[in-house]
Order: sequence, then structure tokens, then C-alpha cells
Amino acid sequence: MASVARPQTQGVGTGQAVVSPARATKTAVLWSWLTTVDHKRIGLLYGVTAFIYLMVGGLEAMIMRAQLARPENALVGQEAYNQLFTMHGTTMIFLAIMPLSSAFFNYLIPLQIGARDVAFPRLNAFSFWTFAAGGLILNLSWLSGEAPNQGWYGYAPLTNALYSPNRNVDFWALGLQILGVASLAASFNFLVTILNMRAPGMTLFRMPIFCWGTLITSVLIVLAFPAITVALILLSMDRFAGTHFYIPSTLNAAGELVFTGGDPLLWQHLFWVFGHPEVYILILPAFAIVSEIIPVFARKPLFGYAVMAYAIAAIAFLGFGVWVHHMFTTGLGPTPNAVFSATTMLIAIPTGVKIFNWIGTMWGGQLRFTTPMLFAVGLVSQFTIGGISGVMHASPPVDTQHNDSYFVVAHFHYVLFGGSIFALLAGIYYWFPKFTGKMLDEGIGKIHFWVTFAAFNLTFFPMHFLGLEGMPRRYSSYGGGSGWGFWNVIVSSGGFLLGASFLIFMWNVAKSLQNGKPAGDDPWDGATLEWSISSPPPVYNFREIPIVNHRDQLWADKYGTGHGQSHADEETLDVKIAGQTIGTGEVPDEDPAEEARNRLAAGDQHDIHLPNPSIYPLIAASGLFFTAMGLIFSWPRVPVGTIELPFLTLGGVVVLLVGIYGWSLEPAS
Amino acid sequence: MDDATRDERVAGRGRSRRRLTILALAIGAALVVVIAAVLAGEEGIGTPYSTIDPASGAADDIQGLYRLIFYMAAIVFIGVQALIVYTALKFRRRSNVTERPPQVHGNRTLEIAWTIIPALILLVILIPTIQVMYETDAEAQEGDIVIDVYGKQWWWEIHYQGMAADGGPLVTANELVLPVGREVQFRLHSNNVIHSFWVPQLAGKMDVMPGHINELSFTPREPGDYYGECAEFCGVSHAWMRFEIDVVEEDQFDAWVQAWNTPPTFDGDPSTTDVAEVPTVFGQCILCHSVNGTNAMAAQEGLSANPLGLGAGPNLTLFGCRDIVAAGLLVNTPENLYTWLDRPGEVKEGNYMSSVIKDDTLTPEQINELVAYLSSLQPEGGCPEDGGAPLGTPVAVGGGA
Repeated sequence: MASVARPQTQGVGTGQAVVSPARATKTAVLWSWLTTVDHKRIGLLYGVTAFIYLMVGGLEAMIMRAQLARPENALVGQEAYNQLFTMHGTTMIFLAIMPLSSAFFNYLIPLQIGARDVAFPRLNAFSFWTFAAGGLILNLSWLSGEAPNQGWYGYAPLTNALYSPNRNVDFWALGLQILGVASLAASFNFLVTILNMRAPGMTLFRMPIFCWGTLITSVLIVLAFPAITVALILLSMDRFAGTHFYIPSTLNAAGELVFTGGDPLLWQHLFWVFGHPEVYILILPAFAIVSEIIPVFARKPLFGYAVMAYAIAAIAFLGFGVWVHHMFTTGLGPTPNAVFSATTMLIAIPTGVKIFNWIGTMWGGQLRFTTPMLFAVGLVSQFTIGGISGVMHASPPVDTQHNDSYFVVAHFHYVLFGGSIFALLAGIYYWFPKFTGKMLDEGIGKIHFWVTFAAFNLTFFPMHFLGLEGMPRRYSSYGGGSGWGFWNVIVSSGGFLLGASFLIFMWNVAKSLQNGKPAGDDPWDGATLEWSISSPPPVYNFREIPIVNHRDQLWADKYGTGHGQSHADEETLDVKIAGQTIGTGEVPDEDPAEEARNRLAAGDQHDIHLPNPSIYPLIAASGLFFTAMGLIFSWPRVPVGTIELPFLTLGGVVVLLVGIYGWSLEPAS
Repeated sequence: MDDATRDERVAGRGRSRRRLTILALAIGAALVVVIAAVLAGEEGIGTPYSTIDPASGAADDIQGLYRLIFYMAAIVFIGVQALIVYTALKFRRRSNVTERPPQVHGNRTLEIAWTIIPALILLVILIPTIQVMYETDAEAQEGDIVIDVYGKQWWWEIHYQGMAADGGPLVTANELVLPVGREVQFRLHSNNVIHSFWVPQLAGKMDVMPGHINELSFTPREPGDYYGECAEFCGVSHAWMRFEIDVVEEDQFDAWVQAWNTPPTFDGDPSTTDVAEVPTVFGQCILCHSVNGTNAMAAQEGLSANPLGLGAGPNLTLFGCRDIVAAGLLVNTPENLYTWLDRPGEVKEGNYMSSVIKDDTLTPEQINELVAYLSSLQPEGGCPEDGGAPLGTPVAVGGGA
């Protein structure tokens, strides 16, 4: 390795806001977190906040399960139940799984690509605080008893002011809108970071596969979120300004029915053009985490790395062409349904390739079933069930019996819990040593895994039976004559056990933070660059920016490259003309590492410099918060001439502008 | 610990672990077989909303397709899970191994194979899928009997086309009677929010979309009671938007239609009808509810009704012969009817009648009068036999069924 930078030995960098904990006052510590632009701290903020929301969403689920445990139960009323399922879905998707993935992106991407931070550190802080604002708006709705109650998918025209006159839908629409700003800002940041800030020599196809997952997920967010943004703007206009984008007929001022030309199908198309890629936004990071973990604990490189990267890209691309499978029962007719049935089945192919390649990675390896590996293999097994049931309702006639029933609830929980949550837990067990310098307890970890695994299946497998018995989703209760009582009791008891499994996890975290085994730099014999630096990493990450010559750079450093089969497919290219391989040649020598070495030799060296902390991202994000709250409450209305101005909203806009203005004038470092 | 003892212990642990593994696999396999039988619908589960006990040609088609896909899925499921378990057991790291395993980076042949084989399996599913879809769609265009269904918050308005005495629609709510062996076409309408019309044993669900008319048809194969429900979230009382279909023999159906068309006659002059038996308080009800053959004929029906339900409640003709109250929430008994009229907002949150009938709106005497009147709404020769067995169940606030 050669060095491209000369770190200072003392007082690293310029203008560091990192206060030594021993001397820091509480205020200074708080201030340092509020103004931090360090990707690692922002990652931790994302992780902790998202975990809290995961628990909130879990509690909401457990109240629902208590309600459904027996027929004709009156534990919670119908309205309360509707708020619970809406908030459970919205919370788990937007406030738990997405930001938990984001926590990993933040913490790991700069470490894995050998960078000192993300491309736009203050934008990164802005993303987090905007996410926090969106989450707060959604959950403040509980205080006025107006939590969103129309389902996470908010089908029009139920969301119209005619049918939902209270603020429930406004909390939801504006909360999501603001969360969208956070996701878009973060995704642009990671796109630029991954494309521009990789260490010298790290070509795209030498990136750790997790970086591929992040890159493609960011592309998905950037392309999918505009659809929901537009959809929500039109919805808010329907609600605030009396437009009729989504409602075909309504009452006029005289109380007469009038036809408007609006169409509820417009909402469904816009929503699912976003909503289906969103599913992949939730699962691709999980795939990427598992693709990092399985090779390390098999002591073998990822099987078919290039195919795995292409499969991620293929899933993402096809993910934009399957949205109508959420609408098979809306009466679009057999031709659109046939086309989208075919594309939906098509997407199973790259997904299946990933499953087989993970098994291929394990095959012939030396498998160590540590807790992260157990959760990772758990994903391979449990996600497969969700994938298979997904193919089952890819057939529109079958879907007419499964759609909006518990069969679908079972399906997507196998995908999102058996997939996303298993992988995120795997990722926490795997990288916790890097985050904290302490190992999580392996004994408790294994108990945690097996309890989770059993409880998960006890909760969600019987939902298949309930679906086949015709139990629809979003039912606040059911009669005893329906025959659904038996499996509902089983599901509920599984649900409580699953909730309890998180207590085991929290106990493990608390215990390990106190007196966990010291992790050292590289406790798992890792293959990627984050394991080459101390745990937790120093604020500047790398004293010297590493130079990358291999895909599994750290393994190459530790073991050389002469083991087993060589990196033949990396170092050589098949030379093809018109599809015929006419020979094999060396990769053309345009190695960026070589360039870097040349630059170094030419004396191109500079100090570590890190961005200054800044309060402006938080100010700008709080401006968005006040703007949205002002719109939701239309308060206070200040008469100016003949119109009434929503004062809080205007104030919020001013705060936002002040934040952006201060930010743009503030020196970056 | 010397190496020999350790090896023995490791070997011992290996043996007991192997026994455990075999036991676990055997239990797992048995479970899979049981689960598979249930999932495939080989064992009829016999619950009222079952999707895998089909009772019409349309539902049979779906069931056939479902079984094909299920068995394919089962093979893939067992294959993949077995492969995972085998790999996990076989390639566990041995404690005495220090050498790294062969660093295999991929295998092009294998990767091509596991791309193409799933593609072929999917093709096997896709082709019959498309066949069934086009057949179902063609069938949905026609029917011997045409029924317009209007989804309301939270009940169903049913119009049998051309079956009223005057050639207009016969209008009822939440309960349908159909003749066996006749193809019925449903045209689904909504002027409010989206609902979904689902009778799992007779057909797949079809959404009721405002601004669109969706069609659905099926031919009931045998007489019996079939149960329907709303499958698209439609607001606060979505869970209590049920309906029933009683499939009867042709002559029973004709008798039922006949009964509907011979209610107490009404010659158009309110002063000459038999109003003596109508409780005065029913005057409030007629703003929203019609009773054929009486002067209660003001309720709005069909698409042009108020989308919020004001002035547009269920038609109450022959109410004394109905099986269910409040769209399947309650069985039609005097006790349940009393509860419903006393506290409609508690029984079924958000329903529009509860904005009219609040606590103390009606005195017990008035409610009793209404219950007696509604129960008396039967044709002269008694109710037609429809074989209905209501599924409604008392809710927490209600009386006995």
C-alpha cells in the first residue's frame, strides 16, 4: 500500500468538533451530536432512531394481535385498529427498515470504499434531521387522536376530504412527503459518494457487494420517489384546494352529486410505480448485507460476484415494470394483467439466482455459524418462502383469491421480516464490533436467533392458512362463525413471542456495551476495508487512503492471492468478436491504482481534511417540520387584507431558507 | 485436554448431533406433508370463506391453477430448503482445519442452469395462467341473470335487473338469492370509495371502483349458503361489510322473486295505505329506507345516491325475512335488532344511521315498535324458503343470537 495522504499525528485534521468525552460537558456532547457531519455518527443516529421506531411499530403490531386473538374482541375499537395498522405499515417501511438500511449505508460506505466521509457531509446531516422531522410529524398525530387511518397505501378516494375530513390523512401525506426529501437527499449523496470517492484502484467491479446494493438502492430511490412525491402533491391539492384528481364524482356546494373526471386508478398507478420499487428499496440492502456476511463465514469469496451485482441491477430495473401486480383485481382487463404477470414472474429469475449463488458461496466453504451467519442463512431460507408465495400470486386468477387476504400478509412478512429484518439483525451482529469496539455476546445471540426464527414462523406461517380461509387484511375484528379463530390465536401467541425476542436482543446489546469482549480490528477475518482499521474507527477513518488491487482487498492483503483458483475472471477478459471467444487476454493496463501511484510519485500529497460541524442542516430540517405542521393544522391563520395566511407554514419556510442560506455561506472545512 | 480425549468428545457430540438432526429432519418432513395437504386444498377446510373449497366453474378454474402452482412451489421450496440444510451441515468448519477452502469465484455452467430452470418452471405457470384469464374475462361479459351491485359504506345494495313487477330492478341489500346452475353476471358500481366484492367459494374478488364498472360472473354448482365480504379497505367499518348468497333450486328462486313482487300494495295515496300498523317514529326512517308497496319510497338508490349515505339506506322490503342485520354483523333476531336500533354507533362504528340515531334518540317503546314493525314485513303466505343460514354473530355490545 502506498500513501496518498500524510495524517497529522496529533489533533487530527482541521477544525475538529470532536470533544474528548472526559472533558466534555453534557451540553457540548449534545451540541456535537446536533451539529455532527461525521458519517459514522450520523449512521449511529439513524440506527438508534430507526430501532426505536422498529419497537414502536412492533408494539402497534402486538396491540393488533391482541385484538385479533379472539373473535368479536373489543380490546380496541375499529377506528383505533385502523390507525394501528396504518401506522404499523408506515412506521415499519419508512421509519424502521429504510432508515436502518440507511444507518448501514452511512456507517459503512465510506469505510468500505476507503473514503473519509460521504461526498456531501452536511447534506447527510440534513437527510437525518429531515427523516427525524418526518417521523415526528407522523407520530405526533397520536397526540390529537388523528393518526393516519387509511392504510399505508392510502387508496383514493377514501383519502378525499369527503370521506376523511379530519387531519389523519394530512399527517400521513405531509409526513411521507418530508421523509421523501430525506430519502432523496441521502440517495443523491450515496450515488455521488460511491461513484466519485472510491479509493484508488477500486473499480466498480472491485467494490464490496454491499456498495453495489447501496448504489442500486440509491438509484431506485432517486427514480421511484418522484412518483410518490407527485402523487402526494395531487392528494394534498385534492384535500386542501378542492381539486379532483382522484375522485370521479363528488358533492357540490348545493349537496348535489357531480362528476369530476378524476380517477382513483390514477392514484393506484402513481402509488405503485413508487410502491413496488419501494419493496426492492427495502430488500436490496438486506441482500447486500447477507452477501457480505456469508462469504466471510464461509471463508470463500462471493460465488458469482459479477452475476450477483447484475442480479441486483436486474431486480431493480424489472422492479419498475411490475407495479400492476398490486392491481390485478381492479379490472384492468386480461391483457395488462397478462403482461404484468409475465414481468412479475421474470423478476423471480434474478432473485432465484441470488439464492442459488448464496448457497454456492456456502458450498465447499468452512462455515462458521456465528450469530450473524445464522441470521444471514436464515434470510436465505425464509426469504425463499416469501419469494415462492410471491410467484404464487403473480398469477392474476390466483391473486383474485389471495389479494388483500392474509395470504399476502404472510407473503410480505416473509419478505420484509424473514428478509429485511433478518438481514438487518445479521448486519448489527456482524458490524456491532466495528461500531463499538465490543463483541455482542454469541451465546445470547444464538438464543436470540432461534427464538426469533421459531416465533417468526409461528406468527407468519399460519397467516397463509388464514388467507386461504378467506380472511381479508385490515379487518379490525371477525365473527366467531368465520372459522378464523384457531389460527388467529396461534398467530397472536407467535407475535408476542416475536416481540419478546427483541428483549433478548436489547439485553444482549446493553450487556455487551457494558462489558462485551473487546473486538479488535478484525474479529471475523473480514474481507473488506472497514476491518483494516480500528474498532470503532477513528474520526478520519483511514490514516492513509488505501490502494485497492483486489475485490476482497483485505483477504488479498492477509492471504495473498494464490489460494485455490486464481482471480482469473477478474484479471483476464475473454476477447470476443461477434459472440465468438477468440482468445483470452490480460485486462488492459488502465489500473487506477497505477495512476495513483504515479500521482504520489509526482508529489501529490495533502493533509487529512474533514468537514466542519454545522447546525444549519438541523435548522433547515426544522424549517420543513414547521412548514408541514402549519399546513396540517392551518394554524395560526393571520388575516392579511382579504386572505388568511397560514402563519406557521410561512414561518417554517423562512426557517428553511435561513438554514439553506447559512449553510451555503458557511465554509465547508 | 489431550487430543485423543478431545477427538472422542467431538466424535460423541457428532453422533448425538447426527441423531438430533435426523429427528429434526423427520419432524420437519412430516410437518411439510401436513402443511402441504392443507395448503393445496386437498383437505377441504370447510370454513365459510374458504378459497379452496370451490363451488362454481369460475372458482374451479382458479383452484386448478392454484394447485398447479402450489405443487411447483412445493417442489422448489423443498428442494431449496433441503439444499440449504445439506450445505449448512456438510460444510461446517472442522475445528482442526486451518487451511482456507478453495477460493471458488463462480461457475458459469451452474449459474446459467439456475437461470434457465426457474425460467422454464415459470413458463409452465404462465401459460395456463393466461388461458384462465382470458376465459374468465370472456365469461364475465355475459350472464342469464344480471345483477348490479352498489358498494356503500358499509353495506351492499343489490339490483336484480328486470325482476321487479314493473320490469325495473328488484332492489335489496346484503342478501342475495340465486338459482343453481344459472350463470349470474355481476356489474359492480360505487359512487363513494373503493370496495371489493368477494365470495371466495364462488369466484375470485373483483374491486368495486368508483368511476368504473367492473364485471364478474359465475354459475353456482350446488345449492347452499355462500358468504361474501368486502376485501378492499373502505373506511372505519370495513370489517363489517359482509353479504350472503343463498343458492336455491330454480322454483324456490322463482317463489322468492314472486314474494318480493307481492308486498302490501300501495296505490300511491298515502292516506289509503294501511298506515295504522306503521309506527309514527318510522316516519324518520323513510328518508333513507324504502319499503316496497308502502309510502316509504323516498330513499335514493344506485349511483346517483348521496355518496355519504344520507338519504340512501338499505331497502327494507321483506325485512322480516332477512337473515342478517347491519351487513352481516348481526343475525336478524328481535334482540339484535333492538340493540342495533338502540346503539348503532356502538355496534358498527361510523355508520351513517348513527349520525341520526344517537343515545336517547329513540325511547325503548319506540324501538320495540320499530322492531315489531320491521319483523312484520313478510309476505302474506310467510317468508319464501331460501335456506339461508346466517353467519352473523353477536358483537360485544349485542344480545343473544
